[in-house]
Parts: sequence; structure tokens; C-alpha cells
Amino acid sequence: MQGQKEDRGEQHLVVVRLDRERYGVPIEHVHEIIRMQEVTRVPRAPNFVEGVINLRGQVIPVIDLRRRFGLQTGERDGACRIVVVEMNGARVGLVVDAVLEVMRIPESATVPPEEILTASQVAFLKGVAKHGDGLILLLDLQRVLEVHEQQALAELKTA
Amino acid sequence: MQLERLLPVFLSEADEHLQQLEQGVLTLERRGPDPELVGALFRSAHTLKGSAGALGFGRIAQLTHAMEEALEALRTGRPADGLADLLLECVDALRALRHEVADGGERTEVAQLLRRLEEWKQGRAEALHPADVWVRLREDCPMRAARALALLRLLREHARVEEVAPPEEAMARGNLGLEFTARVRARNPESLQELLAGPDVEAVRVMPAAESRDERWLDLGPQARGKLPDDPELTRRASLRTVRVDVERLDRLMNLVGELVVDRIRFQQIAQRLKDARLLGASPEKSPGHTDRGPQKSRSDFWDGLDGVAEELAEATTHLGRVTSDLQAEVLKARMLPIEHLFSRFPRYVRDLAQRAGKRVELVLEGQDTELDRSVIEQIGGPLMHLVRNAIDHGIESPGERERAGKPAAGRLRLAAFQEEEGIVVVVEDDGRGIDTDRVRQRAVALGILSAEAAGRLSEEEAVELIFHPGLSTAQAVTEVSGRGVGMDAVRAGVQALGGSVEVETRRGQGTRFLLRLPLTLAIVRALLVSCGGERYALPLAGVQEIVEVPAERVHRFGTHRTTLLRGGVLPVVSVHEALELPVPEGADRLLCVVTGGRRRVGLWVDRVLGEGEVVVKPLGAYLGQVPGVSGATILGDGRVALILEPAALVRLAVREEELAHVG
Amino acid sequence: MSARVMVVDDALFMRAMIREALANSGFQVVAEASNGEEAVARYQEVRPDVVTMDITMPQMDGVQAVREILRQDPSARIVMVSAMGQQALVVEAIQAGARDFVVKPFDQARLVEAIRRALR
Repeated sequence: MQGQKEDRGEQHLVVVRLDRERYGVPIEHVHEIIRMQEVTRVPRAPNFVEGVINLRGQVIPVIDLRRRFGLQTGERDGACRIVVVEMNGARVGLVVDAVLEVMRIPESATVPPEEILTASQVAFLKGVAKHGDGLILLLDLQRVLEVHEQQALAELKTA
Repeated sequence: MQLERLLPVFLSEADEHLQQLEQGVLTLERRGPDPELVGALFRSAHTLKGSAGALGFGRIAQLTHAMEEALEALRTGRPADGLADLLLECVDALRALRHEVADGGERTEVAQLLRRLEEWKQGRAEALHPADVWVRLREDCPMRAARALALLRLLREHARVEEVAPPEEAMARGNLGLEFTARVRARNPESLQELLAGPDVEAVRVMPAAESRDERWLDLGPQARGKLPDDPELTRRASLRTVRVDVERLDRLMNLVGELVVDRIRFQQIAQRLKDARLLGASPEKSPGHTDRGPQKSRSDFWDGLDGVAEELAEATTHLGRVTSDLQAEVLKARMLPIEHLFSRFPRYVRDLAQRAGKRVELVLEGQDTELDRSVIEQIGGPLMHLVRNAIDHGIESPGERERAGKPAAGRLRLAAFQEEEGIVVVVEDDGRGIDTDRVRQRAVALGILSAEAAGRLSEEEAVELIFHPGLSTAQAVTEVSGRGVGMDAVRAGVQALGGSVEVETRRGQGTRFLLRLPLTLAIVRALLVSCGGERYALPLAGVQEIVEVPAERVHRFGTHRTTLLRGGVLPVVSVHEALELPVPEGADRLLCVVTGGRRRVGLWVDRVLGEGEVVVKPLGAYLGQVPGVSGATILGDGRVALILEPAALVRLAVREEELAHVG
Repeated sequence: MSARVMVVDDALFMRAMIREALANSGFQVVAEASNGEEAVARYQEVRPDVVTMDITMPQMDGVQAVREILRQDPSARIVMVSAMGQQALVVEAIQAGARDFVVKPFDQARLVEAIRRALR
């Protein structure tokens, strides 16, 4: 999966579902997709950090994307998956409601998020793509994975 | 090509010669010009000169030649004043040249050193006086950074420049206001004033410096403090990519591998027999030696046979378990290095630091052959250097102050390493002025970390712990709290990342001691598995003294402080649930406490003890960073992750909680 | 005894200007070069007491030339002549061993002063 060059003018995405919306994750950062498993809680972590899991001998953190985006938490069913992404050498798991498909979206179908959404919704996105009769929100992984040190530090200071 | 083959040999031999030269010069400085010692130094320089010359490394050959001549002069009676310093600078230059041979580059120049060696030889002993040079550039000066660097270059031709503020690398990048300062040593400091005056310079002032560095510099701000560059050699040496392994160890490994092969054959045979038994079970009449004893008997033969196989399988598995355990242990031990590897750089480092700080320091090294995993050694180099630097800069007083306090003029700095139960302890200890807890408290209050009340209520021990608070460790804090400060949180974080811990003991006026507790190997730790708030955790066995059950009525509470009596002594009890923000069980009629040692005994309240075993330590990763109270994670037999707790941090968390409750 | 100077600059006009300024102050201009390579070669032949070196030149720039010259004669004295906005290159030159620098446009006095200081 890594090292696969995108055709010019196309984005290659893994499309996932989160609370009635579809989101696109750039495929070059997706390491693998696994079923939901029991997660070990980590104390005093931000609330969107669900905990850590064992990925074939490596301990990796898992984020609940619903919480990360401030969405309501929902029921988890058999369709729930953990998308393991790799960025800057670190592996992190993202909990999503379901993984829908893998697809290529032409650049021409993409617009900057500001054109369609409000400022607060734009925070974690780098674009919006029109597909079929709906939208796919393109995730900005860098933002999603922004290390929450600032938060933790802020918590420390007020202590 | 000839050179390519010879180069690695040259480089490794050069390293050895340089090490010998450095040790030799340091000994020379302490003991005086002993003819045997001088002879040995001469030979090292001479050999190095020969190989360098043969390979065409001109500058190395030139410099070692000049060193040879100086040593010869020393042997025939030239007084040694100032030579040790000079020779050490030569060793530094040779090291830089050696690295240039390996990595390319041509920046090291030897002309100045050659000139100074020549001058020394001719008897112009360098009596150098320390001075502070302050330069202010004109506002209309074009290219300030370039002008400052040009002036520094000029300065270097007439004086030895020790520290520059702001640091030259910053200047080279263009970070410069209108002023800079330099600490120098020169034969005639006053002459520097005229030397530096010129176009673009508004004012120059040269002030003779006091010998002691306790006086504050012209403070151009925290960034401006010229820092002693981190010793690159220290880190470079520690990270070798190859290792030396005892031949005996290799033999043992070979034997174990041989046993593995035997086990493999056994398992193959067992598998074959199972296959046969299965066939037998399906059609017993096909069994060899089957006689017409009737189906009942054949069937019991079958089960007997199966029992036999099961027994063999169990035996073989046990054996395999033992062999793999031994194998694991041997390989892990092969990764260990004696800490001498790291300690050996400190005599030079301490000497240079002490000289620059104007202090006298006696370094004592103990336990040099204590072994540590090589990655641990690589990573504690930084924290150790920090602690040593702090001890010399802030802990140990100037000779004058020490004498006035009735102490010997030379401060004592002790670096020791020894094994203790499950781990290694490294000690950094000085007999200086100790940590001033009043200043630390004041600083914490001033920075808003604690209320004045809370700060006042901290015990001495708790106040000392404040030095590790990230808020306190900023550069600004250092100038006020003339004690530790810079990088203490980094030191602790670095040690914790290795699965270790840092403790500090201090007594005002008498000194300070830091204890770094480190695991023997990074990878494996013996731990107690406990359950708390519905989750499982691992508690490193090191430091666990006992497990006691205490009836609830014997536990007393004051706020969130709990205590109980244990064999006549008061035992503070810390709730792991509260420290980790887990639900506290209601109506427990008994508390289960795991008692840990270290400096203080504390009882950690958990729900259940599940067992004990060896756990493989896995890092939590960069994303999560430092999780308070947790030093890593491990994967349990059922594949699930359990966090590894750090008792000392849990105790601190519990204490801080109490403070939080009272602030504001 | 007047000092011998070599002037290096790719602009004829610049060399002429510097030559005049130096001659008026009693220096002897013994050689000129219009690029770094030439400068290195001429330096060997002529062995001047001081060199003025332009920074940007074709066929080996001033910084490289400084390095080369110093490699062959560690005691060479070189003064850089630089245009505004080239501080990073000047810094490099100084770190490589140049003694001093002047910034264009300069007045004659400045240049002469720099040369005198380099000769000290």
C-alpha cells in the first residue's frame, strides 16, 4: 500500500462512515483495517483517546473519531472497525462506524471545505468531494493526529 | 583502492591513540611530568603521526609532529605550565580532524595550535588572564552578524575565546542584536580594547573577570547565555553499531541452538506419532503387531499410545521452554556493556566544566564494570551530563566559599553505578551547597504553579520534587533560582522513558544526591500483575517488599491522605484508583496493599493481585507521549495490553491531587 | 614599503575603482583577477600581502576562492567585498577564513581602513 503513486488529478481513498457522513482517508497512510477489539484504557488521556491495543506485538494508541470530531457517540455494532494509519513514523488506530469502500476521486470533483461547510466543521478536513448523490469529506490526517500536547500542557498549567 | 581498505583500521587505531593521549594528558596534569608517562604520550603521538603521514593526512601529521616536539621539550626539562591545556586542545583538534577524515570536510585549522605549541616550546609560557569582552556595534553597521563574527575571528588570534553570548551558531544564522560578549583568556587583556575598536564598532569594554563564575554575567537574556556545547564525543561513542561478544558466550549460544535442534527433531517425531495414532484410531487392525485380541484390547492400546505421546509432548515443551529462556537471557546479556563505556568520558568533561566555572572539582568514579543494556547506556548519557553540569555550575561552590564554610577547597563529585535487585542504580552526588528549597518554593509560587499556602505546606521532600516540574525548568527560572532548573523535567522524562525513575536527596550546605534507577535490560522486567478498577496493570517487582491485607477500619483518612499502621510504623496508603482516575470500589472491608520501598515505604491500594511473571516492556509511543504514572505497556498472555505502572509517579500524582484540592 | 594588493572582481569598472582608491592611499596593486579560479592561480604566482575578493563571480565564487587560497597559504589575508543582502555568504567567507569585509557601495576610507587592519 505504501509507495503507491497517485495518478495525477486523482485521490485514492478509503471511505469510512461516521454518524451518517462519509469520510475519505488517503490510502497511502492506511496501514491496515482490523475489527474492533477490547481496548486498554489509558488514564488521564484526552477523552477522544480510547486507549491502546495490541497490534501483532506492537502497542498502538486508538482514537475514537466520533469523540475527536465532537460527534455524539453511538452504538457500536459488528460493522465497527479500527483503521490503522501511519504518519510520521507513528501508528494510530481510528475507530469508525464502518468501512465502506476504496475508491479514486478525481481532483476535479474536489473543492476546498470552506465552500460548503462552516468554519468549525472545517477543522479536520482538507477538502470535500462530490460523489454520486452525496459528499465525501476528505480528512486532513495531520490535523486529526495533531499531538494533543497543547491540551495536556494546558491542563498541567491550570493544576 | 588501498586507502579504502586501510581507512577503517586507521580510524579505529586513531580513536585508541586519541583516548590514550587524552587520559595521559589528564594524568600528566594531576601527577606532573613523569618520564615514563611522557614517553608513552610521545609514542602515541608518534605512531599516529606515522599512519597519518603514510595516508596523506597532512594536518594530522603536522599537529602530532608539533606535539611530539613539545613533549620532547618537556622531557628535557621545559617547565610544563600551560602545556596540559594546550595538548588537550590539540587532542580536540585531532578528534575533529579524525572525523573529517571519515565524513569529509575541511574546516578544522591547525595553524593557531601549531603557533602556540611553538611558542610554548620556546619558553614563552602562556600566563593567561580571564576577561569579559563586551562589544556594542553601531546602529548603522551593515551585516551585524558578519561584523561580529569577523571581530571574533580577530579576537581569536590574540586570545583564547571560551564562551560567546549569543552563541556563534546563532550569530551565523543572523540572530544578533547590537551587542555581544565573550569570555576570554589573554596574555594582555587591555590590549584587546584597542584591537577591536574600528569602524562599525560603537564601544568596546574589556573587564578583567573574577576567577569565580558565580557572579552573574551581563544578562542578555536566557538564550544569550553561551552554553557549553554538548559533548558530541560522548553521544557518538555510546552509539556503536557493533558489539564485542565473549567467545564463551558465543559457545553457550551455540550449545543452546544445538538443543533447539534436538527439540525440533523431538517435535517432528511426536507429530509423526500423532499422525500414526490417528490412523490407528481409525483402523486399529492396521496396527503393526496387531494380533487378534479383539477390538476392545486394540482400542486400549490406542489410548495408551496416545497417553504416551501426550507425556512426551509435555516433556518436550518444558524442555523447549527452558532452552528458549536461556537463549533469551544469553542474547540479552550480549547486549550489555560496562558503564565504564560512558563514565570514561567524564574526567575530561568535568575538568573542562570545572575550569570554565572557576571551581575545583574532584571526580570519583565507582562501579565502572556494572553492566547495562547498550540502549540504556546510550540514553542516560544526556541526563547524566545535565546533572553533572548542574552540579558543577550550581551545586559546588567556589573554592573561596567552600573554605569559608569549612569545606575542602575542591568539591567532590561522585558518579557511581551498582546493581540492586531488579535493576541498576546510577548515583550523581556532590558535596556542594544543596538545593535551596525556599527559593524553589518562591519560584513555584511566582510562576503560578502553586498557591503560597500550598507551597508553604509542602514537606521538604515535596518541595525538592518541584525542581522536576516542567513549569519550573525554563531558562528564565534558572537565573532566579540559583540552583537546578534547566532541563530537570527532561532528565526525568528521559529516564522514565527507559522504564526507570529519578530520586533526589539534598541537604542545605552539605550537598545533593541524584539516584537514577534503571532496569537491567530494556526489554524484560519482572512484575506483579494486579487488578484495579476493573483493569489489569503490571507493577515492577523491583521495590515491592510485601503484600498486606488491611481491614478497612484500620485505615485512617485525612482528606485524600490515607495511612495505616504496619508493625508499629506509619504506612502511607495511596489509592491507585484515585491516582489513575478509576472508580473507587465502595464498601471494601479490606484493602489490599502492595508495599513498595525505595526511599519511603508506601502502600499502593489495589483490588486484587493476579500473579507474578516476566513481562516484555513495550513503549507507548510518541503519540501518547508521557502518561503520568505509567512507564510503558506489556502484552499479556491473552493478547490484551496491560499498562505498566510506575509506583513513584503514582505517589506523586496522589500528592499533587491533594494540592490541587487546596489551590484556589 | 607599501603593501602589495591583489584585486579580484568580475566587473572591470569595480576593479578600476578599487585600484584607484588603493593607489591613492599608497598601496601597490600587483595583480587583478576576474573570477575565483584566476584569483587562486594568480595568488600563487604573485603572493600579495592582501587580497580584495568579490563574493559573486563566475567560475568559482569568492567563498570557494577564499577556501582554496587559504588551503595553500594559511596565512593569506583576504578582505571580502560584498553587495547588500549577502550576509549569509559573508558569514561563510569569514568562517572559511576571510579577515574582514566591506559592503558596497563603500567609501574609499572604509576600504582602505579594512586593508590596513588586515595587514596588522
